[in-house]
Amino acid sequence: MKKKTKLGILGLVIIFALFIAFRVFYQKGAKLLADLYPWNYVALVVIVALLIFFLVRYMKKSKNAPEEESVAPTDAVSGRKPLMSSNQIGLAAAFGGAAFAFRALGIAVPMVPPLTMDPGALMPCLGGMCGGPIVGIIVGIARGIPSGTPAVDLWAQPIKGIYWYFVWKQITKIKSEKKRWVVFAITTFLLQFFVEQPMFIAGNSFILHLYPFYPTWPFTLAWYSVVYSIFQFVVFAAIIKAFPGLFNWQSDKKKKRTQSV
Amino acid sequence: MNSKIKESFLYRLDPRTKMLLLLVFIIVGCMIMDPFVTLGLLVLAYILYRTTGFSRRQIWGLTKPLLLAFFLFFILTFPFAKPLPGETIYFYLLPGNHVAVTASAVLSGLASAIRFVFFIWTADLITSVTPTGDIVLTMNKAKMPPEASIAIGIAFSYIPVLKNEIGTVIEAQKSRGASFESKNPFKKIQAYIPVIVPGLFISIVKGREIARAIEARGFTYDPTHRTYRKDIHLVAKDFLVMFLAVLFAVVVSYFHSKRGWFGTTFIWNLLTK
Amino acid sequence: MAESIIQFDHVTYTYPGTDTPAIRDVNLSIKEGEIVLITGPSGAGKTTLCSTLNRIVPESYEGIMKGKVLIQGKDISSRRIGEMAFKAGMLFQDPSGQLTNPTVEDEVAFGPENKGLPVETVEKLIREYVGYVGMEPFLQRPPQALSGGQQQSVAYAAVLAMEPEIYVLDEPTSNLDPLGSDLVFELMKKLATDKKKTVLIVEHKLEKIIDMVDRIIVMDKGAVVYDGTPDEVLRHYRELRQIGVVAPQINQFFTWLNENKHTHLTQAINLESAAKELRSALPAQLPLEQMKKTGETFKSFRKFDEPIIQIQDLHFGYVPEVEVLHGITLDICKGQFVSIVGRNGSGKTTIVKHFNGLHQPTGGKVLVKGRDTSKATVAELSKSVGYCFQNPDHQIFSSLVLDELSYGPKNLGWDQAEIDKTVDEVAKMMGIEDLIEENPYNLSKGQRQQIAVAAILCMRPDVLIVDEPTTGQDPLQSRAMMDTVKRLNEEMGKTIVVITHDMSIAAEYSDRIIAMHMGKVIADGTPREVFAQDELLRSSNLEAPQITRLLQHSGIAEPTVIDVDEACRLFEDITL
Repeated sequence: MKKKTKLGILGLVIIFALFIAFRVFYQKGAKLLADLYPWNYVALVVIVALLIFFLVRYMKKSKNAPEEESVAPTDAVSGRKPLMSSNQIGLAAAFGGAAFAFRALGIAVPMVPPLTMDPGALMPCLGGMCGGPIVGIIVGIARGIPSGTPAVDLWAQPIKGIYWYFVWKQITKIKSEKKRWVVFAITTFLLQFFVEQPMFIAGNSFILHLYPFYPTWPFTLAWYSVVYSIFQFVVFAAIIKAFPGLFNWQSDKKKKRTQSV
Repeated sequence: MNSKIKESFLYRLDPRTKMLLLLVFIIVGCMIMDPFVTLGLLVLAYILYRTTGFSRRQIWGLTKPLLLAFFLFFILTFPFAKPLPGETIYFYLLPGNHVAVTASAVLSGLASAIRFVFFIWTADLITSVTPTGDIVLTMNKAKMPPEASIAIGIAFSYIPVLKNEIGTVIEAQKSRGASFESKNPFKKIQAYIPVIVPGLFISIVKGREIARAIEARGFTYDPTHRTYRKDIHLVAKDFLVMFLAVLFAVVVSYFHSKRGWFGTTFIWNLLTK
Repeated sequence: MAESIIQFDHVTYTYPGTDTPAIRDVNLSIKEGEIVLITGPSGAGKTTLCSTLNRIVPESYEGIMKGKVLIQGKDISSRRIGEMAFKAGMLFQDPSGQLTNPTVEDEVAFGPENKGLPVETVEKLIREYVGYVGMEPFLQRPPQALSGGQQQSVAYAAVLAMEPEIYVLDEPTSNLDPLGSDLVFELMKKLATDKKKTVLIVEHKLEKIIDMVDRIIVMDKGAVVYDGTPDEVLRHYRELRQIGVVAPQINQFFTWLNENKHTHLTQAINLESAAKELRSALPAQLPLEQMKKTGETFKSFRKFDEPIIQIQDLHFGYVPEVEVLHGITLDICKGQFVSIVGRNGSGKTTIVKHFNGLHQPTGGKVLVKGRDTSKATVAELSKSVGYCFQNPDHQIFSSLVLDELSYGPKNLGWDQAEIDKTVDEVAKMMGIEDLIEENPYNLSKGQRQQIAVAAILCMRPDVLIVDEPTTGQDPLQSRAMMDTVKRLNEEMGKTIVVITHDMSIAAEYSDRIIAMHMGKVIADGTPREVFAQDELLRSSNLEAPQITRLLQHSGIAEPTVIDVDEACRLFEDITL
C-alpha cells in the first residue's frame, strides 16, 4: 500500500513535469491561444481520478486493517469502526468553524478585487495535514456550504483537504529538514498552479460560466498563484514551526519535548 | 435574523426543497447566456429576498463588495469572446487588430458579471433561510455517516465562539502595537501571522474540548442508531415548490436546447432586428 | 453502611509522552449517595482521576493505566466511553467548550439522543431538566449566545438529562464570574439535596460548597493526601495552604480561635451559621476603644496624586442605541496598584480598553499622560499602556520565546540593539532567561502566562493592565501571578490596573479598588473603604472577602478587617 501511495505521488509529480514541459514547449510555438482545451480536461481528470483512487485505497486500508492500531476506537454497542475518532470530529468541527470565522472577521489580504487571500481557505488543507483526509473533507464541506458559489466550493474545497493529506504525508518523510522546507515550498507552488487554480477556475468557467477557462488559467491568474502560494507557504510555515508535533514535523535541532497541545 | 424571516414561506420549507431550489437556480443560471434574461433572474432573486423579509440595506451590504468582482468578471470575459461569424466589429482595443469590441463580446461580459451576482445572491438567500440544524438533518437523510454530520453541525455552532476568540486575538496583538493597515500584500500577510497562529491554536484546543464533550455526552455509544428528535418532512407546499422549480428548469432547458434560446445575443437580436 | 459505588484499587495512570504518573496508587472507596469534594492544586491529578470513571482516561488519551476502577462492584477496564458516559456524567470547566448543539433544547437532548431513547422520552427529559435548571425561557436560543453562568446551567442540564448514577462536576465555576458561579453552586446544592445520587465535585473555591459536601479528598502530585469530613480535613489549613489549597476564611479563623482563644466553636459551614456561632461567643460589651486602636495599626494603603490616566465623563456604547458606560470620571495615578472589580457585563473590561485606545469614547475624554486617546492609535498608546490579556494563548504566536518577546518592540520600530537589551533585561527580571530558546507551545500554561506578561513588559509601558489574571487558576498560581505583578509595581514603579472578580486578591494586593456595576462606578477607595460598604456591594452582586462579612454580620462593623490575619489581631483584645 505504501509503495502504491509513493507510486501515485510519483505519478502526480510526473504529470506536473509533463505539464511544465508541455507549457514550455507550447509557449514557444506561435499559436499561443489556440485549442488547448482537451489537454486541460485530460490533466484535470487524471489528477482528480488519481486522488479519488488513493482516497478509496486509504478508506479500504483503514477498514480492512484495524489490527494496525491496537486500540482502534469502536462504538460501545455495535462495535462498528467509526468514520472518525472523537478527536478527529473535534478537530474537523473546530477547523470548520475557524474557516468561516476568519472570513467573517475580515482577516484576508485583498489582492486585485475580488481576489483575496483568506486564511479560512487554508483550513481544509491544514485539516487534511494534521487530521487525515476525512477531516480535510469535512472541513472543506463546512467551508463550502456557506460559500457564495457552493456549486464549486462544495467539491473543490474537500479535494484540497484530500490531496494535502497525501502530499503532506510524503513531505514529512523527507529526512533532512532543509530539503523538506524546499520541497514543501516548491510543492506548495506546483499544487497551487496545477491543481488548485485550475480546479477553481474550471469550476467557475465550466460549471458557472463566469469566465472562459482559457486564458484565465494560466495567463490571467498566473501571478495570482505565485502570490497565493507565497501566502500559503508563509502561513503554513509559521503554523508548522509553532506546532511541529501536531503536523508530524521532525526538527533537525535538539530533540524537544513532544507537543503538549 | 429577524422574526419576519423566520415566519417566511421560504424559511418554513423543507431543507431539501430549498436545496433543490438552489440547484435549479444554478442550472438555469448556467444555461442562460443572455445578459437581459440573467438580469431578469436577478430581479426574481431580489423579489424572493424582499418577500422573505430581508431589508434593502442587508441586500446592499451583501452586494457592495461584489461590485468589483462584477467588473473583474466582465473584463475576464469580454476581451476573449471571439466575434461571431459576420458580426460587426466596432473597433479594436489594442493595435494590430487585437481584442475586438463587438456586441456579443460586451454582452457576454455583462452576462458573466450579472450571473456572478445572481449565484452569490441565491446561495446567500438559501443558506440564510436554512437553519444549520436542518442542514445536519438533511445530511443524515442523505445517509452521511453520523460522525461527518455532527462535525459539520458543531462547526456551524462554533463559528460565533471562534469569531469571538479570534477577535480577542486581534485586540491582543493590536495592544502590542500590531497594525493590519498596510496596503502591501506581503506586509499584510506577515501582519496576520500573529493572528492566524493563535487562532489556529485556539481552534485546536477547542477541538479537544469538543472531542471530550461529545464523548462525555455518550456520542460514541451507538452513533448509527442514535435518536434524531427532530425530523424533516416534505409536505404539500414542498412538493408544489419542487414541481414548479423542476418545471422551470425543464422549460428553460427545452427552449435552450431545442430552440436555441437564451444565447448571448438572444434579446439583443430581437431588439436590433 | 451504604454500598460503595466507586472503588479505586491501586490506580496509577501515566499520560503518553511523560514519565511521571498523573495519578499514583490511588485507593478510594466512595459510597452511594456521597457528596465528595476533590480539591488540590492544578496538576494534582483531580481531573485525570475523575476521567477514569467514564473511561475518557485512558481510552481517549491512551497512556498506561495500572490498577482497577470498579463501579457498582464491576471492573470497568473493558467498557467503552460510549457506555460509561451514561454511568458517570461529566460536567467540564469551560462552559462554551462543551456546548456543541445549535439550541439549548438540542443541547439537553444530545445525551439521551445518543443513547437512542425514543423521541417522547427525550422530549420528557428535556422538559424536566431544562425546567430543573430554570432555562425554559432560552429553549430555542443558541447556547453560545448565553452568559457563562447560563451556559454552564445548560451544560449541567445536559448532564442531568443523561440520568447517570454518578455526577462528576469538574471545576464547573472556575471560568465564571461570581454571579455565574452562584447560579451553578445553587444548582449543585439542589442536586446534592434532592437526589440520592453520588456526586464528585472538583473545586478550588471551597467556601461556596463546603456546606454541601460529606467528604473532602485533597490530592497533590497525583496522590491522595487528605481524606475525611470537612471538619477533619480543614483543621489542617496551614498544611493545606502549603500545597495550594486555601481553606475558607471562616474555617481558618475558627481554627485560630479554638487554638488560641480556647473557644469551642463548631466549624461552621456557611456565613450565617458562622456569624451566629461567633455572636454567641462574643462578650456582651465589646472593648470598642481598644478595637479602634488595633484598627489604627492595620495595614494602611499608599496614597498617590500624580495622575497618569485621566477619565473625564466617559460615555461609551458598542452601538449608538445602547450605552454601556454612563459618564465615568476618575484618575489612575502614577505608581498606583488599582483593582477594578465587578461582575461580567459591569463594564470593567470596557473601561480599560479605553486606556490603550482599543475602544474610543462616544462621549467624554480619556487622557493618557496628558494625551487624548482619540487622537492616537492603539500602536502609539501601546508605548505607554501595556494590556495583558487573560489567556496567553490569545497572544502567543512565535515558535521561539525570543521572537515572542521581540514582537512588540519591533512593532514600535526600535533598533535591534535596543530590542536585544530590553528583551534580555525583561527575561532576567521575569526569571525566564532559560526559556528564551524554547518553543512557547511546549511550555506549561503558567510559563506561557509569564511569557505573555514579559512580552508586554518588553515594550516598556508605564501602565500595565492585567485582565483577570486569576480566572481559571488555582490559588497558588493566582498568587504567583499577582506576586509578579506586585514586583513590577514596587520594583519598576509600573502603574498596575488589574481586572478581577476575586475580592480577597484585590484586597491583598491593591492600593485602591474601583467597584463597577452596570456601567457606573459604585465604590472607589482603599480596600477597607470599599469593603465597609457591605450593603452597596451586595446590591451589585459583589462580595467583600468572607472574613470581612463574617465580622460585619457578627456586629463588628468597626474597624473593617480585610483578611484573616487582621481579624485574629482584632480578637487578641477580646475576651471570649
